[in-house]
Amino acid sequence: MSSNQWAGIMQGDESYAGATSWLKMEAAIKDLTGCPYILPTHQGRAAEHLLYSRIGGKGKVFFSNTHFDTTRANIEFSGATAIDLPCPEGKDIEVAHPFKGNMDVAKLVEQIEKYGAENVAAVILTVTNNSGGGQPVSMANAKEVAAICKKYGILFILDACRIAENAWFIRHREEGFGEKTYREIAQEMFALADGSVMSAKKDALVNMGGFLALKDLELAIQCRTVLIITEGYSTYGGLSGRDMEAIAIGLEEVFEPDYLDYRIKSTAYLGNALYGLGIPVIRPIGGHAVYVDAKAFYPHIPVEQFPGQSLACQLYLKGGIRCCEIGSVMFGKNDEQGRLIPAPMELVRLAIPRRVYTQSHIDYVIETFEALIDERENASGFRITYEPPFLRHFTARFEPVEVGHDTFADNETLKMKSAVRWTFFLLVMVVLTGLLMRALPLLPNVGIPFESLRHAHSHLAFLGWVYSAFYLALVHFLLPAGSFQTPRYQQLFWLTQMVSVGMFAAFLWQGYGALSITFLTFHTFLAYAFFFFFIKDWKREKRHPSTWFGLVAIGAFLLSSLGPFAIPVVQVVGDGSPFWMRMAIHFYLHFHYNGWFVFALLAVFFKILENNGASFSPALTRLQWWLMTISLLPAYFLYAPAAGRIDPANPILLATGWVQWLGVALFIFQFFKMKWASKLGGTNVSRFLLYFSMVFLFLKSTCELLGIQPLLASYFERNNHFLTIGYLHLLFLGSVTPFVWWFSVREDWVEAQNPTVLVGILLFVAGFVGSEACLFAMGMKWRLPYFSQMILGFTVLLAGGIVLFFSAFFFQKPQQETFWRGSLHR
Amino acid sequence: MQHKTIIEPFRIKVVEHIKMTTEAEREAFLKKPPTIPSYFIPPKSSLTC
Repeated sequence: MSSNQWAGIMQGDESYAGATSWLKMEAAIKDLTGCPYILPTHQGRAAEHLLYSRIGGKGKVFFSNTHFDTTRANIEFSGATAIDLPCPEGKDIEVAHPFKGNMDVAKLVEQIEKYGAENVAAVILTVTNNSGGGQPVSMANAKEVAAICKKYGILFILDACRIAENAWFIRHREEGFGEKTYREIAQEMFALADGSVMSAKKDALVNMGGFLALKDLELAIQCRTVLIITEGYSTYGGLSGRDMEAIAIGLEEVFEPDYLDYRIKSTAYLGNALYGLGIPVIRPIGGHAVYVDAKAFYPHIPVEQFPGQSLACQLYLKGGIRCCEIGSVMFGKNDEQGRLIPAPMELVRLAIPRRVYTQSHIDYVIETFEALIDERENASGFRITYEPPFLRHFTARFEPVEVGHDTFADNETLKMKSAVRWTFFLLVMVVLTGLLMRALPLLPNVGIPFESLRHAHSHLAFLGWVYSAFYLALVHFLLPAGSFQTPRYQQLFWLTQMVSVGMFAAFLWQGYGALSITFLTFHTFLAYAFFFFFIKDWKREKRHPSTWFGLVAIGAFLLSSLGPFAIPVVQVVGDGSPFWMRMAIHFYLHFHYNGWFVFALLAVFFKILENNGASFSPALTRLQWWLMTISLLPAYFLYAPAAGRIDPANPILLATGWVQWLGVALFIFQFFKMKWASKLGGTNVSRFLLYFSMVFLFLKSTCELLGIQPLLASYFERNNHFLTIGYLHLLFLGSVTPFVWWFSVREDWVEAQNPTVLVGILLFVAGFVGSEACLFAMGMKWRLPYFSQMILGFTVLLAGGIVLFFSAFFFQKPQQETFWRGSLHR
Repeated sequence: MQHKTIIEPFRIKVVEHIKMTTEAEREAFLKKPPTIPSYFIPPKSSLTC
């Protein structure tokens, strides 16, 4: 501030109402704006709030050459919409034009017609256009806007923060104003508007203050009521008498020609010097600031990593220079998937305080930029770690991101890794309970009945491990990128996990009982919710196999979930016979196993094929789908002979067996014929897992076919637990589990390079094959000596393998792999 | 005469001390865990543009 302003401060009248300092300030503003009603505020944004909360609200729209951050926030906070209509030249950083801050009047008319004049709350002309590069607005443009507003009966508001600087540009660039004083030019522009808001911190040359000036009495009274409630009495509005004194003086001093000459030219001095260094700046240079195009300065930093924020940090780091990002931190928004909708430009504003710095300070800034040019490739981007809903640039927090990283994808991977890790933990719990079951005959009483363990084990396997793994795979591969980051799929996933844990604990505690059934039901309803949202968000391509298999998978899941609901019906309405009970449980198992598991696996597999550009025969795949789908329903009865009511030699059953087998065989044929495993690439480990999964899918299907052959069917008598468990494990451990491992390794969600993983996989394979051999041998009535000990031994290998596989990645922190490797300056 | 140098059209009557910081100090400020209000870096240590 000037010595006159400081002197005025000593004379400030601090009376509550009607202070002489207020009278001076009011007179100065009235004289300048021509408005009869002046409302003092502590800042420009308070004036904005008074007016825009009054005239804004839901359904209202505001137009501006460019809304400044607080303007936009006040409008959006009221529920209204803010639309920027800068002139075309204003959007081009390089193009030379004397008034790049102008509003696009043709667009303004078009937009007013589109929204209807009655819905337009106001048109705001910001002079100079701060967010648009500090570029000036011509008097001619202001006149045109005023005429349009008058024609449509719309309120025309001037955001007059930098009206004096704008007047300088008009006098020097617009014809017919060369003889007028800066003050007269400003007064002429004020006369066009219905009112104005101003932050006095700018062209009133003070440290604090602002005002709202209005011509309409009714509106002024409404705003004054809010002013008294929120800011202070209408003759001080939150300001001290001394502040008002300084404003009155500042509004005079700002129009002094020497001051304005110095102001505009010293800003141009910085801008032109930077331009001379090859720094991309908005030209011509604006009035109060130099705007650097950070996107062009740091082309290696994607907009998602905020190049403007990076430049601002570098300027502080290298030179202690504080400036402001005006880009996607300030104006960017996130779409539904959480992906950034960037601002039109990524700028850094070097706004120069008035009458504060000397040329040597500015030369120092230029020198700092010179240093940044040499190191520009090393600057890293940033990601936001915290942001509030409005005006995030004021309080957001950041952390640096390594050069070349896609933060959005990183975040997705990070979230996915946590979820996958947890899912694998469930698998470990499943195998450990399985191990306990095997050890039970050889142990003294452990206090948990075998049946309870079996329920806990099998339900966690189905609804914990496989359901979660396919949940993640379906969301990741079939939904648009980034879906897993959205709150919907995050919350649903973790809620399901809590229910799974509750279910597991309930089964261990009480076996099949009220609590475990409640958890089961809750799980089913969460799955319904998941599939509801999934179907809604899934952009299905009709011609793609992932769509056909995916739809059948979901249909089969929903169908299978009816099985448990049928149990009470059988008990209450039916005779509660063991046959129908068994058939109800089998209904659930069949559609879950042969429907949901198998079809979801195929849907994910075909999608991965497509993502990797691997070709497949559409005709064969379609045939495969038809064979598998039409046999799915009658295949339910393949089990029925074992339950004792259907003739195993029934020709329809035999045909069903062959049709389902042919479907799977066609798939396996294509798998080898088209060399999918090698087309999909990956490491030897991941290829092995894929082969393993496919071979066991085929074996499982072949077992089903063999099971109905008259010669072998007799083995499938009631209660042949060995064959049932052996068969269930064939798909579950032989095919589905390695398949989930395969895509988890492929997507880099779990570690696979570690030697522990290899040992883990080998142990798993040995244990699995051994235990299957034992089970099938017993199932075929070859009485094995030391069966319990043998199968326990194999299960120890199997479980040990899974635990080793798991331990290779579980104890690593995902953050350390992805972030913080980059430092601010390398 | 037309001067090339734009001189500030004022004389400085009062001065405010600027604390000169090192790059290491500034890096520490940037990395410091934020408190509310987190927006600010110590203004005495910077040329505010």
